[in-house]
Amino acid sequence: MKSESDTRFRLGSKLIILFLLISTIPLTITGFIQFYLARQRIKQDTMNHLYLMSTLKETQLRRWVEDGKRSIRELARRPLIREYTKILTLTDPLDPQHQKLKTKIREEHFNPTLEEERGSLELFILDAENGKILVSSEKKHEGMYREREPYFLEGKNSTFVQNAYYSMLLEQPAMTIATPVKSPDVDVAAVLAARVDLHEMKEIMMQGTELSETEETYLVNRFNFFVTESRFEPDYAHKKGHLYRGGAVSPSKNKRRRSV
Amino acid sequence: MMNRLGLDPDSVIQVDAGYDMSPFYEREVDIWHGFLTDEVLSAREKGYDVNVILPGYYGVHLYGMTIFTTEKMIRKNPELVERFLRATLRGHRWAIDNPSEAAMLALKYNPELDIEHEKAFMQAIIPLIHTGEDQIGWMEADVWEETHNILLEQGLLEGPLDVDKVYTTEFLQNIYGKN
Repeated sequence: MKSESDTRFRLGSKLIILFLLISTIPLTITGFIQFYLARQRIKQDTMNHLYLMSTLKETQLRRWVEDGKRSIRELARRPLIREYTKILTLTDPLDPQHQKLKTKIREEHFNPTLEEERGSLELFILDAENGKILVSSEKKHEGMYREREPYFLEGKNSTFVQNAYYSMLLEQPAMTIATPVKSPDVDVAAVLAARVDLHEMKEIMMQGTELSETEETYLVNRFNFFVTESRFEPDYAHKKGHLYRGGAVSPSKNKRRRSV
Repeated sequence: MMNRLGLDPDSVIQVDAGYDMSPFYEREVDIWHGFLTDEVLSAREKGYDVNVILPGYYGVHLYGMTIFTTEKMIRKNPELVERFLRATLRGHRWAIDNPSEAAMLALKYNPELDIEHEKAFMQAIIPLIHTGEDQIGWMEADVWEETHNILLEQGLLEGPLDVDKVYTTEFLQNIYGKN
């Protein structure tokens, strides 16, 4: 038979459990709501930050590309460049005058431009007739043909920026800006092209991310091709160059990622 | 390539070459033919700093790897052709994302392969499969036209063909939703 004290004890325990539940359930619900709201807020803040950064990067990149276009247009409009280019298209590569003009273009125009203006790695002129590289700041590229390249085809009409692509010759991603070179009689004699320095693009993409330990930003083209490298794995774009997991994915696990 | 550049083929001495690259390493010949993913890799692995002459940079454009089937299969079972192509492209994308794992797979089928060479092979072939300029597997009409012309010039075709009928991008268009 149960004693009275046992019954009282059980009742006491039940009441304690009941009051505990009454106080815990609202606390849990409130906690969960708070957690959910906080998570949503962090997510929204991150999204806002992402939009802000992508707009900022887009503006910076546009300015950088516009600077590159302006620089190459100015070079193509130089009277001497136009005159020399016209002669190069008309003379035989073995002709001493041809050789002399190539040296002049390289030493008096290309090299100073590359030294004074950051942003380009190589400058070259292609014959409008066949896409042959007539003269280049990289001498070993002269004589090659780039007749199928969009920058050559489009560059005959107006200043054109070719999206990043993998250059088999350079064995790394490249991006090229091209513009027509008109001869003194205003015909398009050639195309002046500049291979841009993707390292500068990488610097633009990375600005602002140094403040965070894990955050990084990189650029991927519309065919999932890495244009700039990962902050955490130098040479990643060079080695990999591609991205195929749907949107941006961090090459290093547990790193915050941002797609632009 | 020499034709395109207007060079006289008789201006060089042509020698028969097999798979053994010793004559090149021993400088008995100056130029060796090969693939970026094979001979060039092997030479580099042996420590030679080779200068690669890419035909594409001298006016010769050809597709190196194609998938082909019969007219009958396309007519009777186009869904199967498309599914095969989809699966192939998915495999390519996986290999691009997982080059080391793809190299390991090769070893599964041939354990005698050198894993480091296979990894280097993957790194060399990825940019050729996906250039960043278009979708994987995409084909351009002018390259097919040029291939046709080269085959004709070299006497490898008996007569001209209707190039539009020897290849199709119909299935790729379906896959990529492209016109």
